[in-house]
Amino acid sequence: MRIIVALFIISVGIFGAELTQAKIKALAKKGQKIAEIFCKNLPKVDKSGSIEQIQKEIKNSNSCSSLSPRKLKAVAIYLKMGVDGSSKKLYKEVPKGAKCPVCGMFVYKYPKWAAKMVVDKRSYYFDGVKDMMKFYFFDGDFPYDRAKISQILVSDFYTLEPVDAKKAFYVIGSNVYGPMGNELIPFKDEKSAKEFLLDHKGEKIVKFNQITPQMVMALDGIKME
Amino acid sequence: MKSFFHFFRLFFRSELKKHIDIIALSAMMLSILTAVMVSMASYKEKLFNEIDSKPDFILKNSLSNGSMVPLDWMDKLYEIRGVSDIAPRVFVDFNGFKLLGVDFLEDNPNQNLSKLIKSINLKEFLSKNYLLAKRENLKNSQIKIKNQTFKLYPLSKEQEALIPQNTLIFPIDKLLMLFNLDENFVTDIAFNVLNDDEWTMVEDKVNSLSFSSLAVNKKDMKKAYSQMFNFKGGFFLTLYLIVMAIFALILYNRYSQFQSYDKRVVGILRGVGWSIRDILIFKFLESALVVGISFILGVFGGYLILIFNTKLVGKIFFDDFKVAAIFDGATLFSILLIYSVIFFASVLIPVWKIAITQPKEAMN
Repeated sequence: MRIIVALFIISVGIFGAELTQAKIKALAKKGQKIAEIFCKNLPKVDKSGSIEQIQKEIKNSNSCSSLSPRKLKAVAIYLKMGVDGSSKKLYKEVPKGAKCPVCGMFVYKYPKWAAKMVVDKRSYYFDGVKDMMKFYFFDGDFPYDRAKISQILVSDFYTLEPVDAKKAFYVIGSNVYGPMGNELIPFKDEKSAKEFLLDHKGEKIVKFNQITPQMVMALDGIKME
Repeated sequence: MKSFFHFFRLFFRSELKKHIDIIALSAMMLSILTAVMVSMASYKEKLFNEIDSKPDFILKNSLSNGSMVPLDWMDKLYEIRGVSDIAPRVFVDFNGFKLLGVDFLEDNPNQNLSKLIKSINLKEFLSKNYLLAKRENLKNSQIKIKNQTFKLYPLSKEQEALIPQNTLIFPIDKLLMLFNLDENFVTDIAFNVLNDDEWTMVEDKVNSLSFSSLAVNKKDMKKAYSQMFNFKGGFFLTLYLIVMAIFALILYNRYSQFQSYDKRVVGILRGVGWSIRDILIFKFLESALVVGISFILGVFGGYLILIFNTKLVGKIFFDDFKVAAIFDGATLFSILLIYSVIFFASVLIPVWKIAITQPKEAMN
C-alpha cells in the first residue's frame, strides 16, 4: 500500500512539473523582456539555487527599478532557466510551388502537415508523414538514394515546431485526418503523443524506426505481404 | 461580314435615341445597386479581416454578465497542450471610450496588437504615463483619467491603423491600479491555438476548467457576423426585387415596341433574305452593346457614389465603421449576370418569336 502511495506522489510530482513547463517558458521570455527594460547589470546567479533565492539576490543587487513580485519572479526564472530560441516553423520555409513528390499536392496549402527531407542537398517537401514515409520506404519508385539523406523533419502537431523525424513520436489510428486521409501524427515528446492518443482515440504510439512499409500502406487500406 | 458590321453600325446610330433612354435608366439603376452591393462587400471584408487578426479564443466567465475571470485560470490554460500566446485583458468603459489594459511584456495573441507592441519603444512607453490610441479619437494629445494624466504615445499612420476606433490602450497593471480593481481578476483571457484541428478539443478542455468558464472562438464569431449579414441581406433582397420590377417594365416596354416598328424591321430583314440566326446575332450584338455601355457607366457611377459618400449605407451596419470601397469582382459579376440575363431575354425572345413567323405576316 505504501509503495502505491509513494508511486502516486512521485508520478503526480513528475506530471505536475512537466505541465508547468509551458508556463515556465512563457515566464522566462517575459522575464527577459523585463530585464532588458527595467534592469541594469543583473547579478550572476547560482542557477542551482531556488527561484526565491534568485529573487532575493536580484533585490539585494538593486539592479532593477522597483519591480512587482510577479515581475521579479519572471526575471528570476529567466536568470535560472534562460530562454529557448524559438525555432522557425517548418511550413514557413515551404516554397509556394513545392509539390509533394508522392501525391503531387501543393504542400503550402497544408501548413500544419508539412514534412521535409533533404537528399543530396536537395529539399523535398511532403503534405504529411505518411507520404514522406512512402517516399522513404519505396525509394525504388522514386529517383533518389536513401544513403544520401542528410535531414528529415516533421511538424509537431501541437506547436507546429520542426522536429527531427527520427526523434519524434507518431500516433496512428486516431480520429484526426491529414490531407491524404489517415495519418501518422508527429509529436516532439512522448507525453504529448500519449495525451493526443487519449484525446483522439489513437491506436498506438510508434517511433521512426518502428514504422514499417506494411504499417504505412495499411493507413490507405492496402494490405502488404 | 464587313457589310454586316457596317449595317449594324448604321442601324445602331439610327436607333441611338431609343438606346440612350434605356442606357440612362439602366445605368442609374445599376449605379445605385453597385453602390449598395459593393459597400456591403467592403464592410464584410473589413470586418472579417478584423476578426482574422483577433485571438483564436477568448476565455470568459459566464457566471453573470460582467463577471471577471480569475487569473488562476491562466495557469490552467498553460496546462492545455496546443495553447499559446496567453494574454489577460481588462476592459473599462470610460466617457465613451473603451479602455483596454494589456500586458505589454507577454506575446499578444491579437495579430494587430502584437505588431503594434513590437513596433514601439517599450522602455520609453512603460517608463512614463503613455497610452496608445488613434490621434483622431482624442481632442488633445493627452487625457485625464481619475486625476492622472496620460499622454498619447506618438505613432505613425500605419501604427494607428492597428488600433480599433475609440479604444485607448494602457499597460494592464496601470489600468487595474487606476480603477482600483483586484489584480487577481481580469475581464477575459485571450489565447491562440496554432493547430486548428485541435480547436474543438481545446474548447472542450477550457469549458471544463470550471463550471463557469466559457471559451469563444473567432470562427463562431465569424459565423455570427455572417448570420447578421444574411439578415441585413434581406434589405438588399428588397432592392433586388425593385430591380427585377424595373426590368420587367423594360421587358414590357420593349415587347410592346415590337408590336409596331421593331416588328416591321425584323420582317424586312427576313424579307431581304436574313436567316433567323443572323437576326438573333444582330439583335444580340445590339443588346450586348447596350448592356456593356450601361454596365460600365453604372459601375462607374456606383463607385463615384461610394467615393463621395462613403457612409451611404454605413448606418445600416455600424455607426463608427469607416471603410474604403473595394473592387469586388464576384459582386460586380453577379450584378452583370442578373442584369444581362434579363435584358437579353427581354430582347431576344420577342425577336425570335417574330423571326420564326412569315415575313409578310410579321410586317402586318
